[in-house]
Amino acid sequence: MSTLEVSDIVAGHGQLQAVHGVSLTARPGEMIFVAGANGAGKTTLLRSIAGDHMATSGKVVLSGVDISELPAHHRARSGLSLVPEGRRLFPHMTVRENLMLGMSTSREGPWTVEAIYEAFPNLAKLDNSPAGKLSGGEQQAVAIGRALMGDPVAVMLDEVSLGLSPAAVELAYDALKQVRDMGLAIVVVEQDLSRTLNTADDIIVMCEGNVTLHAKPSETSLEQMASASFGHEEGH
Amino acid sequence: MTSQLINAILLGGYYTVLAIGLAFMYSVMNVINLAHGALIILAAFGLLVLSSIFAIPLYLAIVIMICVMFGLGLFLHRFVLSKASQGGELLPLLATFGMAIILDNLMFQAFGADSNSLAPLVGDLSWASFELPGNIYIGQISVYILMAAIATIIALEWLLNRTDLGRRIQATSQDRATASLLGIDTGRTLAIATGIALATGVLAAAALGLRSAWGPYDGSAQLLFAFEAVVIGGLGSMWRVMAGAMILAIAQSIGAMIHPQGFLICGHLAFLAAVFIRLGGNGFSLPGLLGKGAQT
Repeated sequence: MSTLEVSDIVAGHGQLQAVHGVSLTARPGEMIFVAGANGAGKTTLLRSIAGDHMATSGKVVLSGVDISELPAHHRARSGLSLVPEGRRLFPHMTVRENLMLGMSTSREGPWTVEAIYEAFPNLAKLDNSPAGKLSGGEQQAVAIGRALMGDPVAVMLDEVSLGLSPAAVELAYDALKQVRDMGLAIVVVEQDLSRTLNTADDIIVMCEGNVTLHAKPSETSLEQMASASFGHEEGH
Repeated sequence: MTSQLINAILLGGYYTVLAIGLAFMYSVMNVINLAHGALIILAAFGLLVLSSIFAIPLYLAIVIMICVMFGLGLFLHRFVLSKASQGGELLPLLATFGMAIILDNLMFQAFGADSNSLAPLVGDLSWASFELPGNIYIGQISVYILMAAIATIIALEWLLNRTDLGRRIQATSQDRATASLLGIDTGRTLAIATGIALATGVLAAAALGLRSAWGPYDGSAQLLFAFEAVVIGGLGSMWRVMAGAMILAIAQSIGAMIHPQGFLICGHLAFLAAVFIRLGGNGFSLPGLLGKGAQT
């Protein structure tokens, strides 16, 4: 059974329709990449799945349970986590306090602050520092850790590598691969196409709110993905 | 002079108790509760009814009223503030202003225009005093009020910074969308925060009733002193509210020394000075006025 099954999400902002019926499926231990240019509707799609933005229509099923009608905090408590664009840490709180807020889902699971520090060894020494003082890579690690503290079954991450140094991006993806291997379903929004091709288990490319390419990395190429992100659908 | 200063500090303790709920609600929810004063008067009437009609000891009446006002806070958030605060900064002001007028008049209807006091309920304590070296006498009740103010601030700071609930309240107040994504029920969290703010008003009500008398329309005067204390001190920590309350009380006492009618005038002057310093020519904005830049 798939962990996260999203079908026909339609979402918009007022008059503007940003997502025109997008579907995706993520199975346990699978990392799905959603790629596409700015304004393709990737962030709106993720926010609609997480309930941060209310979709006009469409269905979100998590571990076999329909959560489409639930508000964001109930979706989080059902085990669906979103690491939002820009990390959105609480800058005046310490790293530990930010991580502990992740426990607000009240779910059972393996994650504790110490387990996060084992997965991200560079965070341990920052335990008591205000999150706002951290570097971008460290903040991304805290944001991922905070999501994991809620013991989710599926994690979505918006623009993982935006504003990070190449080394920090590498660290973030190493951690995500560990998490994937623990059996979580992961959905990543990423603009870096070669990173997408190298890391993904399944790729979706969006343009102007539509899916223009859906393929396994072995079945597609950088060129195909690039042309799909500019709106050329496969087979047209 | 020493005696006046000590009494000013004790008065500042009373203003602190008045201002805590108002400051807490604004710092957490961005709502200036203009019904804060009226709700304190309501709590005072509640204490009076419980202890004089039902003959419940005052300390027990305070505990009961704290629970009642907490419940009223949940109700208030659920049915008024959560809806009003979706309409921008002005709507909660209007909603709570309207509520204050309704409460004032309902209380006038129910209790009449008589002056009421809780002092008769505590017997000797209402005029008992401590003697300090140098022949200075200070009222025991005022000392207890100041201690209650300090204890309340310590409790609130502990709650906000050391408990899960406090961290959730802070997270919700700083970034509501992200808080929900983490699984925090933001509506419930803010309702609890409103309940806490109103519950602190019971201490203000007890302080008001024990140190002086009140009538149904006295809410606005309490609101004014509370608001002035908050603006002078600025937000960020409850201790700043206390500092603001002290400055207000000291300014008023200096005014009273200069001229018998200088009490209120000097307090307002201190308030205006704080307004000019805070806004500093940057144009009017509520966050600017209340010094919300440095949030804890």
